[in-house]
Amino acid sequence: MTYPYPENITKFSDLMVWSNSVVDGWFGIGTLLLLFAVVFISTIQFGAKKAFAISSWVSFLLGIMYFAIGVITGREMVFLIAMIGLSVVWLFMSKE
Amino acid sequence: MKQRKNKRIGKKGFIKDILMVMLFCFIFAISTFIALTIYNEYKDHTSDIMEDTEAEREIIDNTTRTLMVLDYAFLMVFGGLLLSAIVTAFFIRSHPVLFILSLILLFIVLLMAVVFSNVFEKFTEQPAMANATDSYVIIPEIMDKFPLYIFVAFILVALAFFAKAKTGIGE
Repeated sequence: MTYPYPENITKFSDLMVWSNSVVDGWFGIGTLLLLFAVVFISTIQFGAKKAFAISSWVSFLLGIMYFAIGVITGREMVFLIAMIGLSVVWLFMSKE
Repeated sequence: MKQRKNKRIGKKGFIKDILMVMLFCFIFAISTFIALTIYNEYKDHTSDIMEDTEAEREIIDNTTRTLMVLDYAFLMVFGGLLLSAIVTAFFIRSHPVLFILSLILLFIVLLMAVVFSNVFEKFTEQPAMANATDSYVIIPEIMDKFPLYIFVAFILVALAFFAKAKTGIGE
């Protein structure tokens, strides 16, 4: 399989779309998972609930950008929104 | 005298390791294909005089077997280099803020992987390499989807590099 080279790149989003095409559509999911793990482990010192909430929100913000440029689909966005909902419920349910 | 602890943040991080993994795998794949092609040419031209005795046949069998093992050796080299890059990245001092910079560098890594994959494809399309392309399975499979494999490798190494809790390791 011959991969296309990044020609006619005028915006940063074009570069992301090209990257997504050369990794068979896994670019968005992979980087979102990586961001979630990095933020979660970096903020785990504040407790698992808060770390999950922070990492969910940060992943959601990047997910909005990815969704706008077409790197991820609506299914992944629904999953990100569900994670935010879960984190909010988890924070409200906690007794702290 | 109190020994000063070296806490300098490395300037290159784990990017050098990923590039080395890519380069080494590419060179290994090209070398293996060239080796098999040269050996096949040699065998075709000397088969009438080299397979007279048992010792000569054994030499040819052993050489063929060794060249076939290189297909699996490629997988081992790729996995081993990836593992060493992950372990090395875990012990490099880092900060999560640098994660954004690594995403920018990911584009350069993917571009390199695409170039390597395309060059390897052009190389294997040559008529002289047809026999080697048919003989190997793992090398063409990995090199065909090289950007995807390198992307997964990047994710794993970046995870080891950035996702460190405050344990004191690599700090």
